[in-house]
Amino acid sequence: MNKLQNWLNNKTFHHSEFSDIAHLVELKKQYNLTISLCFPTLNEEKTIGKSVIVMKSELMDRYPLLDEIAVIDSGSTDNTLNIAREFGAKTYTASEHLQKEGDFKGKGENLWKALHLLKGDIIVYVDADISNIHHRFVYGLVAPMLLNTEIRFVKAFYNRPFKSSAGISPSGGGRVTEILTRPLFSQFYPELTGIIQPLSGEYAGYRDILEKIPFPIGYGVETSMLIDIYERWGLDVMAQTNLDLRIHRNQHIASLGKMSFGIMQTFWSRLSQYKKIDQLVPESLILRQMRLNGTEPELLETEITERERRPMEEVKEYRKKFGKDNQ
Amino acid sequence: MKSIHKKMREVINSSREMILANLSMLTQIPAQTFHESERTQFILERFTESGAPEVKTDPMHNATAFYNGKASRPTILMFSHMDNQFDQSIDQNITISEDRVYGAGVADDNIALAVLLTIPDIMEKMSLKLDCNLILLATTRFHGRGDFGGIRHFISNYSGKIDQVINLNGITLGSMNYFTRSRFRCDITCRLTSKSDASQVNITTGNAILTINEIVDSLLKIPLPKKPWTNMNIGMISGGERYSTPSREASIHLEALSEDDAIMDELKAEIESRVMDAAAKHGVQSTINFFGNLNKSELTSRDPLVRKSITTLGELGYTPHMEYGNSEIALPLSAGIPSVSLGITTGLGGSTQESYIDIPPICDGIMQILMILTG
Repeated sequence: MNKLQNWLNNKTFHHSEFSDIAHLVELKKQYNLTISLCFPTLNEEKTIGKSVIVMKSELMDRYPLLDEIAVIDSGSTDNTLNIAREFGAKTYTASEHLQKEGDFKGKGENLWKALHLLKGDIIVYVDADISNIHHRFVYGLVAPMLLNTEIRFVKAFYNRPFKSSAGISPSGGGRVTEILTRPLFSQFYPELTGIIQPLSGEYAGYRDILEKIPFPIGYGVETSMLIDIYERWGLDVMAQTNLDLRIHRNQHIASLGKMSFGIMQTFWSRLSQYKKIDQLVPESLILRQMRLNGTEPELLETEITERERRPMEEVKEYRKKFGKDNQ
Repeated sequence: MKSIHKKMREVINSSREMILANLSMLTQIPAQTFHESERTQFILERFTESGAPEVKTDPMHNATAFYNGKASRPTILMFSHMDNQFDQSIDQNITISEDRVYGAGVADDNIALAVLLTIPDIMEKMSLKLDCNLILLATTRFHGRGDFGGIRHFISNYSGKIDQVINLNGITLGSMNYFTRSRFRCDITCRLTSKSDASQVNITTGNAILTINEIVDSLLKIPLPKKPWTNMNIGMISGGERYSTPSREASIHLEALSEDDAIMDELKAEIESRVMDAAAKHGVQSTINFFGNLNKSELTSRDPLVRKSITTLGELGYTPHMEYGNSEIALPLSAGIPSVSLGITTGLGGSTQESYIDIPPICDGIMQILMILTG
């Protein structure tokens, strides 16, 4: 797993490394790039206003890093679109576009249609439910791609230490990540276990990558994106940035169940597509978890072998004791 | 409308997102009185980011930027406080709708602080070069026991001469203060002594809450003159440990205001006397701590800063509403510096998410400031 450790060392960043936004704007001009920001929404009137305002103020008015901010909506019944429009975002209702392709409801649908509706060479996706929104959520994702041309896709992660009576638990991600996604990655895609929060809703990528992969419309979109990019272009085109604290709605356990169910469907389809189901690697018995030591990611490896005992009635002593052979 | 005013309005309107972005980001940083340093750091960074000159802090964690005008011109200090009374348990994140911003503390006075932070950007956009020297100051320790510590320190330690002071408030657009009342604040605490152990004493007397109750009754009987206007407000009360135990300690916290300094001296003596008597009768120990003393201070409407402020509000279509203030301008006024408090917008105050500010009037709030600075 030297490759994974090398990747962690070289492709994991902290947003504070990129606070010289003026330099990022220079690089963007130098490479003649355009950058679009997409907020996928469904009834986000409480948070969309400040999300649009902060990004417009800091990354369009103060530093022209972004060329457009767009809200792509799944049919909000609240005031989400009016608020976003008032503060300068372009607004789209997903169902009104690419109608010949059919209409599905889901975040992935909005992300997919963003590729058609937005003009940027780089597309940045940021969830619209972040209470502590800050422009680092965008420049922290764009910067690695501008500073290192090898990097084509960047994923966000956050400090989310989970305190328990035993101390700080090695919880790099949320509940679904730790219980479902990371064990699956450990078994089938060990190199992707270095991605600390694979399900985070903030990521950025070049159009020429994103336009070549399918988008599940539901909960599986983040998982499939990682697997597809990894399978087609390898680990080294990916990077991740620590964006510090992220505060958002805490989801009910029933919602997490639905999310897990969607992710599993996507995962099995990818295993089948890439012929992985019968090809467990020897390393697949090692669970790889991530812990943040300060801001430094630390890989924890634990071998977990689920040994099994044969049915008791096959044991000679057991059969003798209970007279099984005389029956 | 003068062409410069038209340009001002255009620039301010184009800065709306910057103002609200500053508001959004600063409200993410808790700044309970005495715990403001993280917000100070943010303010210093914002001043620096917007190109404000001479950005610095001081031992009180105030944050300042200093614009040099012409040497012979006056120096104007414009300030707003950065602290609030909310601990970390109160969600201070804001929600922005098309024409309002909701959130705890947004009205009192985070919007004023956000505007102060955006003034350098607006001046830069307008290429505005002031004749006067301008100090932008975000102060700490406004609330409660902070006792105006930030502005007090700045006024006492500023090495140059300050000619005029403008204090920015959140939701009082159209109102202005240029006179303040005499004021003191007072914490009164009653404690059971070791001799009056709770388990040994009569429950009707050996209970600090009951003593405090008697003190409240007694204080409310103090005759206060209607003219000069004088008032005493018991604003907070605390005490007790559990349902089943007589309270060993209880406190009240009050503020008195008057249009006459001499009455306040008499009132202090009367409070001391009544507290001592009540505590003695109950056999409990009492302590009285007076603080937050401010003398009555005022300007007249003939003062140039007051006149300019009144004229400006009139030009913007407001009928100025003059009233007594109980604000930080008492300190510069006491030091003989002409000072006014001005509001930025309209809204509703409070510590809950129901507190809000109106977005459209912010433009007028900033117009009045710039018109006064450039007038």
